[in-house]
Amino acid sequence: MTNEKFEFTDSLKKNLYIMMGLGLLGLVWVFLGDHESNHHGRLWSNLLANSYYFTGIALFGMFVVSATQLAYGGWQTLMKRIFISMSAFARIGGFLLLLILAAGIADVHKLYEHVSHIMHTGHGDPKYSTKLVYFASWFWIGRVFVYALLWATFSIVFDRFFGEADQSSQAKYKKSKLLAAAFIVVFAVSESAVSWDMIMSLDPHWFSTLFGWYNFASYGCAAWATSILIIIYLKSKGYLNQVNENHVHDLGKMLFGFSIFWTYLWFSQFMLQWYANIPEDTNFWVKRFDEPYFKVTIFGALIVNFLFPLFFLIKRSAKRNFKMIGFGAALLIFGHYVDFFNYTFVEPNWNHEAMEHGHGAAVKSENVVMLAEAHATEAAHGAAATDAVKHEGHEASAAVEVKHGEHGVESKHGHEAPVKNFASIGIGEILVFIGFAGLFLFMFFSNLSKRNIVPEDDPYLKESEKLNVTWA
Amino acid sequence: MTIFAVICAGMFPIFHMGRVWDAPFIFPIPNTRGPLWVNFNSPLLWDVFAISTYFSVSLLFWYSGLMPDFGTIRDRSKGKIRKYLYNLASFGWQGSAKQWQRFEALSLVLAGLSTPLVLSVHTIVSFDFATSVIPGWHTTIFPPYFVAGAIFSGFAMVETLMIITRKLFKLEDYITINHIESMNKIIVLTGSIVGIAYLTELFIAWYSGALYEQFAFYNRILGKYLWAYALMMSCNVLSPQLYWFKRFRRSIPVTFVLSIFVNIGMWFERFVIIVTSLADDYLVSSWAYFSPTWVDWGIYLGSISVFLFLFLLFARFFPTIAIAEVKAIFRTSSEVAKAERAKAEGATHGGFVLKGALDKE
Amino acid sequence: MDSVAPNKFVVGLWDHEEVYLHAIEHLRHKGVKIYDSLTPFPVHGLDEALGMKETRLHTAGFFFGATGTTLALSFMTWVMTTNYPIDFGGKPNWPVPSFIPITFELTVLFAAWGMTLTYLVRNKLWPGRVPRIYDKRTTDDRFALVFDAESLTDAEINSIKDACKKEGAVDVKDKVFTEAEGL
Repeated sequence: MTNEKFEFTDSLKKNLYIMMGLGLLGLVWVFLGDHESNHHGRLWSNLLANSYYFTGIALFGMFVVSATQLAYGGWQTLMKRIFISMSAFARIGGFLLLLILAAGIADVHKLYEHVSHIMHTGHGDPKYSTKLVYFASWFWIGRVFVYALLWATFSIVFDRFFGEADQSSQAKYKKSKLLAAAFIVVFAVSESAVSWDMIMSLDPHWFSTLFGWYNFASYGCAAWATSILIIIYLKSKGYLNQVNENHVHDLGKMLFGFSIFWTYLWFSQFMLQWYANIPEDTNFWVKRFDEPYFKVTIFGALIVNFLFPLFFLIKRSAKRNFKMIGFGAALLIFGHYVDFFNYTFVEPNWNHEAMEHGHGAAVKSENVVMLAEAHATEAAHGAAATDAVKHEGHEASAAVEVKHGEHGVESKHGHEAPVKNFASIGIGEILVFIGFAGLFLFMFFSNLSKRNIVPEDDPYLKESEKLNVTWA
Repeated sequence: MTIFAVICAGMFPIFHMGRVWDAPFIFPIPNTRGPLWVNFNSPLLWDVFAISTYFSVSLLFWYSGLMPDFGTIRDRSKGKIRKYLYNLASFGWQGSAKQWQRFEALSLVLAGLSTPLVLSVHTIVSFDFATSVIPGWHTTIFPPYFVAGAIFSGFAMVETLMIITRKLFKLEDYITINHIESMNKIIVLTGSIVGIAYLTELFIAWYSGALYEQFAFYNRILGKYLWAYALMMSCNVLSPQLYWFKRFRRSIPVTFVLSIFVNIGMWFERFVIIVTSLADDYLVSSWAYFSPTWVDWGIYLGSISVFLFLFLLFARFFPTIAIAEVKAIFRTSSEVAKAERAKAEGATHGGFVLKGALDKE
Repeated sequence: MDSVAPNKFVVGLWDHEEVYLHAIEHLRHKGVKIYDSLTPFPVHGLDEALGMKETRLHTAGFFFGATGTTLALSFMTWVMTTNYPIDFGGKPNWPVPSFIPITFELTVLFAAWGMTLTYLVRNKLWPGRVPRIYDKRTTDDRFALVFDAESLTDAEINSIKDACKKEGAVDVKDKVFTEAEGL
């Protein structure tokens, strides 16, 4: 049956409403449970991380359609409209980001406080001259507005274009290639730019040229995992009969491949900054590794997002068993959420005053700490070597504590120790995540129910139906 | 498949070049100077491992694929010496079912290993630069951008050699214009990725507020090496954009000329990265303008000659097309087979199958 | 293969892989024992048709790779921490990020070489080996089935030949190897 429509049942709607309700509850929870001095940082961090994450997944849906369309892909045709419907969230995602940014600029929350600090005090400092231009409020908001508009437009155009019948006409096919190419170009620029504007700007002192591509790989993994879970769900409800373990196997391969790609980018970014050990780079990592909690989440994310797929998803049997691949996909969605958590949640909880007062000095001292840690441990252990980043031995941390104290006093100009009020992944975070997932799925299912799930006259449909994955 | 075979063919001499500076002591071998080992922290040492692994694994991949074809040549060749030599080269290939079964498994895994290996090799080359603290070298985008650049220049180099080989050996029926068009699509894609990486680097250097970084990039684009940067940008980023038009993608003269442009552009990318960053580094007293000596020219021309020499030797004595692989897809993918099948199916699908590629007019 | 290789064979040749696959299925169904099958390229579905076991070459590759990983990591750890610790660029003496590239390379190196050597040994391929060529056309465009005729009566041989012809073989012939035969 190729001409079946998804029926958006009331009970499913009810469940999704409950999920969204839980999300609202979560927002209230993190709003109330936050420390006074944090300026609702936790609430807005939650909103930012989830909006960004799910927008990324939605955009990646369109990316998959475009890329496979351009590459004469046939395996995905049965699932093409799943990816199209996944992009429905892109219609609001960009505007959610815009809202968060506008609130930040309007000083409702302090997520972008470092930027506003530069904007207020950075005049005349050559170090900040370019940032004063780039983060000028209207330019900044204007950029994010343009991305939001472009994404929403593309999402609607994709939906119309690939949702219509008559996919097999030559004229339409030709046009689809153009549309796909146009999206790839727009996406390539906007996904990098939005990662700078929304996430890298949380710490305007840090920069990494790889950051945009890295983000792409991260929500790319999440998007493949999402599509796998959705397909398993739809199959359990009796839809998509022609989709079988071969298709899920291919999706699993993509998930595996993107996981390795993500790790590759993670390692490249981390290793290069660790190796060169210059203050502009290392401030980012020192902040994270100084908090034991974030140290755990960073290496935890690495284990879940790399080692797990490496040993689990590489097996053919795991990719063809719906229960196993479903479990893997769910775990990876969580793992990449933690990845974004590591980027968005650290900054609002980092002591603002420490950063503001002579940024250079503070950062330099951190760098010294990092080096000192290495030397201290060497001294403590003699020939037995340790890793500056990973080692957690007692003597070492004691030594670092001392060093940290010394430099801390110097750089913070008598300020009190950082407020240890960082957000953790608690009930609030989980609830907000569930809420966003509910919203995402609601938009997905209402979009999916508008037309046949399978593009019944797509010229590649036959190829997709016959898919047989024999190797790997 | 044909394309793949020719990529192997075109790239194999490059593998040889990885070893020109090979000396035993860059490997960690036990020695009599007390415990004296190589420094595993050095990216140059990583490069030693990367290049030697890349060379030897590529050799295995390439040779294991050639063995059945040597068998084919052996059974066709006339003289006793030729027969003996080609049998030697084929390792006594027979083509029994079990051999083919293992062959398939081996080539699958070797392909699977080679893919990340190619990535790793270019990544580690980029680490040679990016682990340093030289502005213009130390940037995190280097690893994936070197990989994209390698695919980009690799395809261009293969196109250059392939178009000549195709003409000389009359391989037009094997390497069709569709193959060339697909390769040109890859070129415009990877060229644009490289372009985005250039722009990202520029933007981040501007955005960073790091003075040295800004200075290095200002120098790069507007300094005394303006000409090199302009050449790189126009060859690598602008010229492949012509491939957005089908007419150019399917034109052999355009492809040939553009492939040369890309070769030049990618050579200048290395030049820009290395020379502009070193010419004006931290120490003002050592600022200088690089001009090549006869030694530089000699090494440069010599390396090109070695490459071409090996390639021509290969083309003379070895099969330039993976014979067995082409046979395997002959009945499913050749124009003849497609025409037969389309006739049998009554040319359904609006005749798409007959045409092969859907958007071929 | 048997310890004493037979010298007398019947060879059937086909010219289309689909006909060839069907022929194999039918002949095996009839209970005819196939000694070997030679093709010019890997025919998909041939191993199932012949009832061959899945090759375990990938598993071997995995273990070779794991050996490489372990060896690289443990050797570098030993050198950098115990045998020859040096101070370099403010790096700790056990710099795990620095080990990753070499570890990866050695994993690939071991897996690739281990697998290829296993492949050569298992396939009995080495430079200078003189293969038994049942028919030269099997490396061109013919698909061959080889039947051991050493201990068969003439009647049995003829019945195999007839069966082959019925299944679409384009040529059926006898092939006898003598001890001294080379290429």
